[in-house]
Amino acid sequence: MTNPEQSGNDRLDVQRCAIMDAGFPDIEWPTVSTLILGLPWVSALIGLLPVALFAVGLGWLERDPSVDAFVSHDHPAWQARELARETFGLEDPAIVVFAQEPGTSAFNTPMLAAIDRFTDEAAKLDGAAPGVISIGSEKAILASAAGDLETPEIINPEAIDPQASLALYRQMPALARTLVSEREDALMVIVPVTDPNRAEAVTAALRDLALEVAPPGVSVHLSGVATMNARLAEHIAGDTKIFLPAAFVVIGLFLLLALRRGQAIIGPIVVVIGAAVSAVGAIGLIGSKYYLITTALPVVVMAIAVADCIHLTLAYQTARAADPLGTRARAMEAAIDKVALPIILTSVTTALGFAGLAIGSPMKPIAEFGLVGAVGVMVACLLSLTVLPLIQMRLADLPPSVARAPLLDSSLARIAQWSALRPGLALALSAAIVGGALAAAAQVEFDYERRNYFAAGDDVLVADDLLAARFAGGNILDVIIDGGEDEALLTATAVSQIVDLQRRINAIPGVGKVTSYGDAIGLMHERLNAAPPGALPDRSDAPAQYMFLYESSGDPADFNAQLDFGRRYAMVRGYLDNGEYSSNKPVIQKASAIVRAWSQETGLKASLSGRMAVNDGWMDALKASHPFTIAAAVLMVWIATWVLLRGFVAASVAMLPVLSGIVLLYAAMGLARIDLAPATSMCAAIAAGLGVDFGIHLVQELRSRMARGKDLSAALSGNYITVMRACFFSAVSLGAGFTVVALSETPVLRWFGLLIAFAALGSLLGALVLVPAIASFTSRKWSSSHA
Amino acid sequence: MHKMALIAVSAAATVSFSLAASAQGGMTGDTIARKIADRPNADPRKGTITFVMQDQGRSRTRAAKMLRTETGATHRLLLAFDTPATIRGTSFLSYDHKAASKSDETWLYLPATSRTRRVPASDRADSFMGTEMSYGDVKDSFIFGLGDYTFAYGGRAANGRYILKGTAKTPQIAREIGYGGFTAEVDPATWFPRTITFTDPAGKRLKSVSVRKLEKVGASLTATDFTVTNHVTGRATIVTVSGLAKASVADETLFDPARLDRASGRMP
Repeated sequence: MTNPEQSGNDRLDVQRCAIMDAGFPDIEWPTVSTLILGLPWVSALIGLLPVALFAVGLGWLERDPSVDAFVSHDHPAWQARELARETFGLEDPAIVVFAQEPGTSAFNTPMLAAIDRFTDEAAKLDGAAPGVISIGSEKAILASAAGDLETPEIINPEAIDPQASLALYRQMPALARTLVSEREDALMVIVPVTDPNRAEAVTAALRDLALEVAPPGVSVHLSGVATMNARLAEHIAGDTKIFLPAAFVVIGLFLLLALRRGQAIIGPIVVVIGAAVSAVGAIGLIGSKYYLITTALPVVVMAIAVADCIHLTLAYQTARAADPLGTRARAMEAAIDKVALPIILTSVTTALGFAGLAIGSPMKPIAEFGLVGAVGVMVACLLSLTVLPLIQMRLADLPPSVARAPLLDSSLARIAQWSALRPGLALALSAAIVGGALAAAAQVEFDYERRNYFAAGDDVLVADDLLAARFAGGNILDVIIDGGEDEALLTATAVSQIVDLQRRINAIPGVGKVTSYGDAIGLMHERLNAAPPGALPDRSDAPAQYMFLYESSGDPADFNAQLDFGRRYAMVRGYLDNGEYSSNKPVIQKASAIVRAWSQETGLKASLSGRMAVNDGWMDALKASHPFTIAAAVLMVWIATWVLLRGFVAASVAMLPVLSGIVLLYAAMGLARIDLAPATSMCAAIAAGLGVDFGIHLVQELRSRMARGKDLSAALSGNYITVMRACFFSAVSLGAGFTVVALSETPVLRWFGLLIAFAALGSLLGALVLVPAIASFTSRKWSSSHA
Repeated sequence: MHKMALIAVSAAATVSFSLAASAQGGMTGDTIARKIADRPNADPRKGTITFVMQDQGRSRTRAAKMLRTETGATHRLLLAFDTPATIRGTSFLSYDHKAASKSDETWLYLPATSRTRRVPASDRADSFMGTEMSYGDVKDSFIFGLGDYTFAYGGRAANGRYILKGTAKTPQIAREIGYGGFTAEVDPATWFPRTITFTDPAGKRLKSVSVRKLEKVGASLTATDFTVTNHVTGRATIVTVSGLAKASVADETLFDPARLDRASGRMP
């Protein structure tokens, strides 16, 4: 852009000087720019080689859609659940519900035949594990008039009799609200799967089978963690298909708007693709997985990479406009000299924002997102300073008349001048906004609800609602009991203690039902001895002998889900009303206290487990680490900015927009009632790295102009406005890029994208307003500090 | 014309079959199955039987004194458990009636309830007392039901044993016995199957039996060391019989369900 203050024969020299004066005097940047353009093949090789290396990792990518990926594997709840998975095999199954219209009995011949067939055939599907449970697999525990144990199948496949099945089911209270709905209008089948984290094929097969066997008028619903993981895997696949094309279109449009020439966007497209490929390839290289949040990574990196491209290209176009008779190479050298340092500075700070995640987050997917995000940012930086100049000096030329954006420039100039002339008002206004934002931000809560990963109306949510409405709920809280030695849990004392624990947990508000093998022992005792309901055996060996009798009469595998092979471990399973972290927190705390006290009283070791305890554990870890993660990111960005800008005041001024952006981000979360959960907890750290870019570019430009003796008003014009324009387009294209993530099928990812976009725009506004205002207060200090 | 063709085809098939049988030394699947079924098995025997049930490296052991007799119409098996301690004194009695018209009967005495309970008539495919054997396995005592399977001769293994293959005659039978078929290696010296691999009714590999040791009491052979492995669950049961001996003419009261509570202390 031509400097309007200059005219005459020295015009070109002054312009050249204005373009070049941003660099540090002790580094000979022109030499670097000359090298980049003088050795184009070497430059291209240096730029593209890392991309090629990282691209190798694409071949090793592996998907992991599970929520488990977020859980630290040394958490006690995780370890207890792994023990439960190995011992009882019923962790994270697929749940299939066959539902009649509410109030219509499910105990009819077609329905029972369907359940029986489904139970048999589901176990044979690839990916299904042994131990499918339904009333088609369960037996009733009865006693004949002579006192002999009888264990008839609840559904007799040879002669299905709904009334007989209903009568048998009603003899088994433990099955009510677990396998049969409260009003007996829906039936559940629990299908263990060999790998709940890769259950797409088996859940699809289960759905097909269920739809095939379901009688007319019966609806089929799939839920359970395995099903949810499979749905999330579908989301990843669906999002990946949408994100990249959408990101290309959106980023391309904004590039076109900023650079105003079709062929000028080719170079930036090369950079964003290279950066995205490197980031995703890095996932494979470091042996990480493609998690649900990783879906957003390519778009995030592309959106960030485009900023460097805009800064360089606008600087080049400005240089060409300033010296239309000069060579393209000379203009590009000038552009590199002008923006190389800010690009490196902003890339380092953005990468440090990501690194903050890698250092501070206890959750592997988030930490690795930070790591590979940093890789993508630095590769974008490298490409922007090697490959991009080579392309842009051939394709990004504009006629001088087009190089300006008078309307935008004048608007930006007005903002800068207004802030500088009324710094008190600008700062007061900013303080008022930040104050209000802080009040809104205080409303933000840590919470997690797996339902939030699915859009309203999703089949999984419908099934979950049905489980909550008609059954005891699909949210599992387990207690794993260790008797210390084999056979230890088949004594009358142990059974009595476990039933006592069951009752205590059942008394906690929010717990719908609790089951254990004690239910069956109690039933056998009651029916074999004509004991009153609820009575338990008092002869020490009675439970072992009842179980021996049952093994001789029924299927010994019937208790596999509750009592282990050695009769040393048992599982007490509770069903909770909902899966929300905040709602379940008191339940988990009370259950934990009960289990501790019970363990001390009985001498039996007991551990809380199950999906709800695991979720509680990792959410606690997230809650504890979140402030440190954000503080680490902000601190690292601050220190890097301080070091790179060589001034505490300048670095602090550059950081102010970041802080305002972060506060606005939390305010948006508070106002929109968006919970701090794994994905959304990453936003602030990423926003810190991104937001400082605008501050750095503007502070660096302003400081260099004032150091050359310009007064503030003069410094806030000319090339400063060009930098403002570049920041504006960077922020807008960044925001637009992140908004692409809002196209996700997963609500949590939508929030993630929108929140970072919002924070980026907040940081931009903060930078545009705060930098001139603070400069107005401290202009003398700035000049002297740089001089 | 059609009739002539049928006769010709039948004749050809008969000749082929005869030639095949001849090539195998006259051995057929039915012959082997019959030899196994005719194996003497009536001598009364006693000993201590131990079931070691294994699952993923863990094991549980049950041990019982065993008494086995055969009347003309019924095989009778009495087990008096003494390991583990929690089931000590528990006694199991079964009557396996040879007559198909008569249902088998099983009783279990539980000291904890001081009562003998009749165990409901089990399907042959049901698990035998929590082991990997089925009631059918125990009842058949390494004999393949001649009415259950269609047999085929599978040649001779490298170790010289006959290979016998069986396929359940009907899906109904397959469901009842729990097996769709089997392949066994049969020792021609004893007509005892030394390895058996069973498939489930759908044809998938289900269970393997490996007999390591046989002992003879009178004319009757008993497998005294064998393993049953369930390939679906991964569990296995190792069965050993120690102190196998001919039982003197047993005290008939031991086989009285009404006196099963006293069996444990009176086992020979």
